[in-house]
Amino acid sequence: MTAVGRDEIWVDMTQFDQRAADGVWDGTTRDPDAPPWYRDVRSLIHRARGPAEPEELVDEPVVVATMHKVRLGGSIARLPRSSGVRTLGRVIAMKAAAATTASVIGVAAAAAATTGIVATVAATVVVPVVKEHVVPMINDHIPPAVVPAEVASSIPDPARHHEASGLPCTVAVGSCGDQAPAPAAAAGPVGDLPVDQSVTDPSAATPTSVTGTDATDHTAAPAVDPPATDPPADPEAGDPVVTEPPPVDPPPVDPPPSDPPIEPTIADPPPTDPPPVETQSPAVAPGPEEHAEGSGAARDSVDLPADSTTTGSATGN
Amino acid sequence: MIRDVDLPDLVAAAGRGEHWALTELFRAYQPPLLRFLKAQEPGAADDLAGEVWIAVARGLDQFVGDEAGFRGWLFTIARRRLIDHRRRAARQRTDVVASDQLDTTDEWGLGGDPAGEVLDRLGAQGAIDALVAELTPDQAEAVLLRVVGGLSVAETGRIMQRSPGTVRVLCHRALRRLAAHYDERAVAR
Repeated sequence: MTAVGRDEIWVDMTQFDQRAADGVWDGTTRDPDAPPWYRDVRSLIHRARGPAEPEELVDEPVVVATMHKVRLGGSIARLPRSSGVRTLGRVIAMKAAAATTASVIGVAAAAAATTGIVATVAATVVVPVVKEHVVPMINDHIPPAVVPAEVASSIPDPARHHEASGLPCTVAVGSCGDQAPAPAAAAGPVGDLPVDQSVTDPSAATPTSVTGTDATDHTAAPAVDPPATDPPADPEAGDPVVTEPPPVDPPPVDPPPSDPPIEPTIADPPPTDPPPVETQSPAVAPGPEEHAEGSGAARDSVDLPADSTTTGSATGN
Repeated sequence: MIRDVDLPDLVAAAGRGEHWALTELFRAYQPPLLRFLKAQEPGAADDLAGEVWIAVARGLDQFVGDEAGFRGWLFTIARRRLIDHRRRAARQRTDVVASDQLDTTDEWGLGGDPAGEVLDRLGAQGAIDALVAELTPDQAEAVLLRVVGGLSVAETGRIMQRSPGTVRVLCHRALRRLAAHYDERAVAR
């Protein structure tokens, strides 16, 4: 019989000879007929059943303390995860979350700075609101200014400044030279102040860029055609023309809020500590069939040992 | 390993929450428990072992039996926690690779390395991994329960919900695979 044939028989023998099989898997077989390769397998078995290694007992304090707590009636769902892999995973996850948050904030700040999102919001939201609501309200509430003659005469004339400096006037017509304080002059009573023609001239209020060496040319001969604007309805000659702004519908103003409804205060009863209840998981002694079969729903109960006869019978082999 | 005569007293003391008894149980059974779990789920073995010990602590006052019965009970819980973990993992599709998984058989050069001394340098977990590396999952589980758990064929069959004959066949086929694998290595040497 060849060596291979002997090995085959030796291996097959373990299927039918329970004692031989136990010896093989216990690593206690000293059969001289054992094949050479079994030496390696036996070595592995011995090492696999070797004494405890230090790293295997590293969780002892935590686990034993938890078991102690469980035995004393504490309800522990699971142990704190303390293995190196979990800890490393948590650290990496926290770092990743922090890095993500920092990068999001940085990108958002950079985007706001580069795209001018603040200015865009101001231009699209704030400015129209101011134009629609705030400006008409201001115009409604500003009383017409009456400027005494002596005060008006004391107002420095920018046109003279232009003349003195000899610089070309490039400012708007309505705000330059004699036309500058137009509302104040127009609002003056008849006779108190000479009504300048440019004040009543609708074209004078139109900002027009005029280039000239003499500011007085503006009123004498406008360099540009006045825009086609409707004249006043029928202004009587000599009457002061007060250009009041057209009636503007007041912006919809929300009615002042009435008194806030008083929320009914529910008189909560003062918190009272529940009576101390000793919660302890009910001990369930499963039957042998539960011990043998594992269903997810009855897992905890089936983890418990079967009765003594069941466990005792398992030890017979 | 704890002697048969000592175990009932030990379990009773542990059931009363005595610290020394719980420590004794942990020191005696944590190594095989952890090796069994690491051989099957290396990334979750520590957490699973913790869950097993909590379940043991909950049921200590219910346990009646001898040392082999305690081992059978312990590995029954371990196997069920393992199944639960695998169900969860199948739903979550996450794989955690333990750092100590990196120094396994290939690290030690078992993949074709003719040096027989390599086996002698393996630690307990490395030896277990080398032992079950060539086996199917069923064969590996049967071998692990028998070798690492030190359980009998009948107890292994009860835990695996197989007949003792099936366990014997699984172990026999496992031995055949080991024979083929290590015989080739012996020939290569």
